[in-house]
Amino acid sequence: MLDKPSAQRDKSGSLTITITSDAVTHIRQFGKIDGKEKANLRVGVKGGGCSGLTYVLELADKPNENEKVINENGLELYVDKKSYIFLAGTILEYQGGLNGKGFVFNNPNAKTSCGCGTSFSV
Amino acid sequence: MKMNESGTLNKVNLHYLNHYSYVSIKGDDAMDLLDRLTTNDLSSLKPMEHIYTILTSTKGKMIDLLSVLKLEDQIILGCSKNALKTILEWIDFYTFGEEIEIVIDQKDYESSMMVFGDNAVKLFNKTFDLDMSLIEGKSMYVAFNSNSDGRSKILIINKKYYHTDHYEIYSTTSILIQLIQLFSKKEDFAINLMNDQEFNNYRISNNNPVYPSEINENYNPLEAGLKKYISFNKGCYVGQEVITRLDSYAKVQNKLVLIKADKQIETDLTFNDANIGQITSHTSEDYLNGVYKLAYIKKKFLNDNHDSFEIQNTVE
Repeated sequence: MLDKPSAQRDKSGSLTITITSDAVTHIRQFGKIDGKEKANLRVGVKGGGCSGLTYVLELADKPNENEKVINENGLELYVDKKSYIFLAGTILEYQGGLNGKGFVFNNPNAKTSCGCGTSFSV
Repeated sequence: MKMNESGTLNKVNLHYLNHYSYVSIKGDDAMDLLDRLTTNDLSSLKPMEHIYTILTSTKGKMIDLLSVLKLEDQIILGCSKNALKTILEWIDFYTFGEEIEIVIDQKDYESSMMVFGDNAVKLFNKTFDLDMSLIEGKSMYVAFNSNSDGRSKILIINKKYYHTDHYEIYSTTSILIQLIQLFSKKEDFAINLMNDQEFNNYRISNNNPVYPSEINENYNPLEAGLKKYISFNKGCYVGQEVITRLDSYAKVQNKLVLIKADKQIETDLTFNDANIGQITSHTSEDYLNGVYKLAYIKKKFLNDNHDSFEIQNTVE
């Protein structure tokens, strides 16, 4: 049985966002399909979804102004500061196989999630 | 003084909506954000169109009923004055990177007046020489000669609130006062300027819920009879899963109804010593003795024979 990845802390001891190597592999594959082989990843949160907050995930070339940059498994994650408050400690995984869901946010801040798992509340 | 064919004046009701606030929301993401936070489908709203939608909590309870008017360059969001702070905090909480600007103290549409009754269209025709069929379900800018400012601009909106089809006029407070004076001078119309108490009697007798007595975080829109302001085809919005489940599995617990009950029954409704409901509003004593009330009643008790009250569809 594989060990579940655990939340990481940055150099200052604060919880950060972790992306598993398997998820990075899939990001790279999707980037290649999109013609963006060196693309990095923007993660965030927006209002909406049944539970109030929805995850945002998109390929990105560079960070926007005021975005936090996290280097993880050879990939840069770009996160705006407000989203970071709701995502600190999150582990982003990729779940494949017959019961796979694709990218999954294991977010310790989420108190409840909706049935489809795309939105959460804190 | 001229009268209509039946020999009576054409009665038109006016009510100044002083319990409502109107804020301007601008930005490319404004409508999309509101669409993600509220029950109705705002995505296909075109400029000059209006829609009601409900801001709900993650538990599907009501925060307020919102009036959304899309103009070319902004959205005019109408809400209960006392709920405004909560609504703005709610929007702020759910705003992340969106392009959105809220102007709270906009002046152009700071006030609103409701115009309703069978003769409202006639009054507009007579005053502004307007073909009102052009603004069915929409809104229109109209200019008129006012006392002090020369030509004054107002915005007339055709709204369909629950059972009541009515018009609202948005403008500045001073222009609305001048407009009331103008309407009052129309010879063949009897203008009934309703005060808050009279309007409250009217809306209770039409089973219309308002914030905070009926629209609050204790109840969901289905209980309040506001299903027509919920889209079951749009994408997700805050509270959607709960509301859809309640509707699909017929799990709505309470229903807002108009009842006729003795004056002394003011809050709790009981049946066989059990609490079966809550009175939320009642008409004033000078209106049919104040016996008409709105109440949330547990649905399983709606068909029982009750000694202390009668369920009404309309005021007799």
